[in-house]
Amino acid sequence: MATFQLNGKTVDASDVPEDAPLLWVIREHFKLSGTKFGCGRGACGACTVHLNGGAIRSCVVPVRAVAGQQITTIEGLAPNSDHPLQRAWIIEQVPQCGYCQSGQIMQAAALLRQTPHPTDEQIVAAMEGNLCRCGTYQRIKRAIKRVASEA
Amino acid sequence: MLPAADPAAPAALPSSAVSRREFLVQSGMVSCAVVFAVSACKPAGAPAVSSLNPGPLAANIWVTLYSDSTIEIITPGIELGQGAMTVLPRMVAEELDAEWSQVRVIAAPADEKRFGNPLFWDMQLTAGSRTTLGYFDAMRIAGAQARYVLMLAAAKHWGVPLEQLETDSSTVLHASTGRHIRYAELIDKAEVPAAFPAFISPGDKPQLVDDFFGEPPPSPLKPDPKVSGAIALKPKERYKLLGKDTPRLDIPSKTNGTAQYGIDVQLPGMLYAMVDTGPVQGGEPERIEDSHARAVPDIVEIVKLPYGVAVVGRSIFAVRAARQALKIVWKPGAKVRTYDSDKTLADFARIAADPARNPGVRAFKLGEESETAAAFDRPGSLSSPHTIEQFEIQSELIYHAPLEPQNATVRIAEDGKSAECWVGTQWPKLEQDYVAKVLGLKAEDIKLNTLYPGGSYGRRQEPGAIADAAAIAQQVHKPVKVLWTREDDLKRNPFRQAMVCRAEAAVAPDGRILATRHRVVADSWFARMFPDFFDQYNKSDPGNWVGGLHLYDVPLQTVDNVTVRREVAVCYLRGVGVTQTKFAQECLIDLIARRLGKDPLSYRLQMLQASPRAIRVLEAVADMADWRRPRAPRALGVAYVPYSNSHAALIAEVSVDRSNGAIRVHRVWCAVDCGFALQPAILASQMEGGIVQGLSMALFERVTLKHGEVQQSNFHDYRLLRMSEAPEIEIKVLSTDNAVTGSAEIGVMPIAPAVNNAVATLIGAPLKRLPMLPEDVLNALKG
Repeated sequence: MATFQLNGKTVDASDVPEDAPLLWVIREHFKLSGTKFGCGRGACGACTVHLNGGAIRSCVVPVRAVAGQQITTIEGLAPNSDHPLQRAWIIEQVPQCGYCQSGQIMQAAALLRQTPHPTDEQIVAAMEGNLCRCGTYQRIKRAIKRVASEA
Repeated sequence: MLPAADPAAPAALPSSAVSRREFLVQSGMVSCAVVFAVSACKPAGAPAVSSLNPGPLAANIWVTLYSDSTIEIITPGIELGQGAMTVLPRMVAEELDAEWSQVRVIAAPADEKRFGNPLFWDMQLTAGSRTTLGYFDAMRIAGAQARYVLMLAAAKHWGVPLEQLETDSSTVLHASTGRHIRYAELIDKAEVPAAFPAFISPGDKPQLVDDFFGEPPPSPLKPDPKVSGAIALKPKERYKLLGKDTPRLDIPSKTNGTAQYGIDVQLPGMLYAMVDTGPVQGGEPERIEDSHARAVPDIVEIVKLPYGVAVVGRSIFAVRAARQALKIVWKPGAKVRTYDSDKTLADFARIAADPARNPGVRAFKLGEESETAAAFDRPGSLSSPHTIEQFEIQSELIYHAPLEPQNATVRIAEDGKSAECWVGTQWPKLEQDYVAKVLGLKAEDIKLNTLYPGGSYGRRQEPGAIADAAAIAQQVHKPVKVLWTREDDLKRNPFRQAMVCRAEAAVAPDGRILATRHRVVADSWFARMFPDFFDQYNKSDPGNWVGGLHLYDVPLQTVDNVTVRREVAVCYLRGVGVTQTKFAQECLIDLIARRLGKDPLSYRLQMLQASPRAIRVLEAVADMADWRRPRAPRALGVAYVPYSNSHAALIAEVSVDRSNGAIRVHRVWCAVDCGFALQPAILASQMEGGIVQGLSMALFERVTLKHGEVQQSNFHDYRLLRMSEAPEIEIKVLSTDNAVTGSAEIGVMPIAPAVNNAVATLIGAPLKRLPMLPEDVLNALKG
C-alpha cells in the first residue's frame, strides 16, 4: 500500500497501517474532516465517499483496498462546492445539525451519476442506508428531485 | 450518577443561581409557579465601550460595528440545527435596521452572567424550546440600543433633533433635508451613552405562565408607553426581517464539509484517547492486562480511571489497535447489574396502580382534590353519574442517538492553572464546571470553545467525553482528544426515562369529562443531576409530569409524579416526558370519544371550547387532511398538544400490515401556533424534524437492559427511522399575534398518539407500549 488518488491528487498513505479504515485515514491523516464518523460498521452512512465514482462506506473499507483507486470526499465533490446537489441542498435548506449531510450528498451524487432521473423508489432505495437523526429526509428527497428535474 | 463512577457527577448548581430564585410547588396553587426575583431580569447589556474609541464601535455586549460596514452580532443560543444563529441575530438586526448581508454572527462565549437566557433561569443553556422566546426581548433591545447610538451620532453630526431621524438598511436618514449617512461612517463619531433610554413595545402580548418554568420574569421592555423618554420598538407590521424567511447562515458550511464539529478538532501535538468502561454503566476496573496494548507502536500511555481504562496514543490507528489488545477484569457487583427493563416497567406499573402505598408528589391540581379522588375511588360520589375510562402506557428507555458520538478535546496549560476545551454542547457552563472539578480549577480558568454539535436532542445538556478528556490530559500532560465509539456512546448514554403513565377520566353520560387523574412513574434527570432543582419542585421532576396538564374543559384535575430512582442514568430527551404522557392522555381522549360514538376531532373541539388557539390548530389540520374523507383500508388519527404555550394539532394517515404487524405512516399533516412566527420556514423544518424523530421513537426505538447490560450496541440493532419509513409531511405555520413561543419539541409530541389513534381504528384497540412494535399489533389482532 502506498498511494491512492484523493480528490484528484495522489496521496501517500504508507505511514498508516494497511488495515486502517479509510475514514480515519481521510479524517485524521489527510485532515479532510468533512467525512464523518457515525457508527464504524457501515450502518449509518455518515462516512460515505466515492470510490471511482460509486458510494462506499469508508468506515469499513481498509485503506489497502483503495490502493491506486480514486477516492472523492465531500471536499472534492465539485470545485467551489457548487455541485448541483450542494446548491439544491442550500435552496431546499436541507440540513439541521448537518452531521450526516456530507454522507447524504455523496450518496445522492453517486445515485445521480448512475441514474440522472431516478424515480421516487430509486431515490429511497439509494438513500435508505443514510440515517438522519434530525429527520430531514423529506427535504433530502426534494433536493435530489430538484437536481434530477433540472438535469 | 453520570455513569455512577464518573468523577464529576453530580454537578453542583452554582449557589448564586439557586438563591436568586425561589421555586414554589404548592399543592394549594392552581398552577405550579416558579417565582423569580426581579433581579433575574437584566438589561440587554451595559455599554462596553465608553467614548470616542477609534476602531470598532461596541454599542453594547451584543453589537459591534466596523468601519468596513460589518455588523457583528453575538448569538447567545447555540446552533443545534434549529436555526438559533440565524433567528436570534435577526431580532437584533431588525431593530437596528441593519442590512442583513452585512451581519456577521459570533457565538457568545460561555458567560451566563452576560449571555444567560432570562426565560431559562439566566442559564446559557440551549434547550427546552426556550431560546427564541427567551432572548426575543433582550435581542431586540440590543438592536434598538445600537440604533440609538448611531442616531445620537448622526443627530450631533447634522445638528438636528434625534426625533427627526429615521433608519433603514444600515443608514441614518434625515427626511426633511434628504441627508443620509451610513452606519459605518458614524463609527468614529459615535459615543455610547452612559445610560440608555427605556424601550417599550406596546404591541407585544406578554409571555404567559409556563407549566414547567412558571411565571416569566418581568421583561426588560417597559410595558407602559408613557414611560418618559422611552423609545418604542418597531411594531410587527413594519418588520422587514422577522416573519420573513431567510436562508440559515449555518447551512452552506453543512453542505461542503467545512462546518466544524467537536470531532473535527485537531491540535498540534494532540494525542488521541478512547476509554473502555466495561460491559455496564458504573463499572470499576479491577485488573488491567495492558502489556500487548502498550506494545502497540505510538501508544503513549494506558491510564486507569475510576470508571474505566483509557488508551492514549499518537494516532487514532494506534489507539484503536491497542484498545483491542487491552484486557480488563471488572469488579463484580456494579449496582446496575440488578436492572432489567421488563422488571422495571412491571415495577413502575405496580406503583402506578397503587396510589395508597405510592402516592408520589401532587404536582398539579385543579378543583377540590378530595372530589377528584372521590370521582375515581368512590364512583357515585359526584353529583352527576359517570363512568371511569382509563388508559395506561408503558414506555421504554430511549437513546438520544446523535450521529456525532460524544467527543471532546482538552489542553491543559503547562503551569496547570488553566485549560482550554473544545466540545459540541448545549450548555457550555456545565462543561466548564465539569472540567474545573476534574482539574481542581475554577470555572473561569477553563476556556471553552463550542463547536457545532452533530445532533443534541437533550443529550448535550450534560457533559460526556469532556470529563474523560480532562482526566486523561492531566495524566499525560498533552492535549487529548477523547472519542467515544458508537458502542461507547450507546452504552454510556443517559437514556430518556422509562415511564409508566396512567391516565384516567371520569366521564358523564353526555360526554363531559368531570375529572382527570394522571399518575406518572419514572426516574428523574433532575434528581440525579440537579438535586436542588428536584427539591425545589417538591421532589418531583417537571419534565416528567408537565405533560399531564391539559387544556380540556375539566373542572377537577390532578397530576401525581412518583420518582423511582434506578441504577441506569436518565436524561431529558427532546420532548421530555411530555411525549410519553401525551401518548397516554391523547389516546385516552380518543378512547372516550370512541366509547361515546363521537368523532374524535369534533369531541376535542367540544372539550376545548375555552381554548381558541387549540380550536384553531385543530380546525386547520382537519382542513389540511380532509379529515372527514374515509381512508380505508387506511385510517386517520388525530392528536392535539399544548406545550409551553405553543399549540400543535396533528393528523396521521396510517396502515397496518396484518400479516406481520408493521405499522406504516403514509402522510402527516400538522398545524402549529407558536405565536408570532419569527422565521416560518425554520419553524416548519423544526416541526418536520420533530415529527420524524417522534415517529422513529414511536415505532422503533428502545434500549433494553438485561442484568444491567444494554442489549443494543449500534445502529444495526438500535433502529432509527429510515427514508423509506418517513411519511410525507405537510406543516401549516399559523403565525398569530400571541407572544413568541418555542417549536423545538412540540413536533415530537403529537405523532405517537395520532398514530396510535389511527391504529386503534384499524385494529379495534390502541396499543399500550412505546415503541409500538409489530409484535404488539399482532398480539392485539389475536385478541
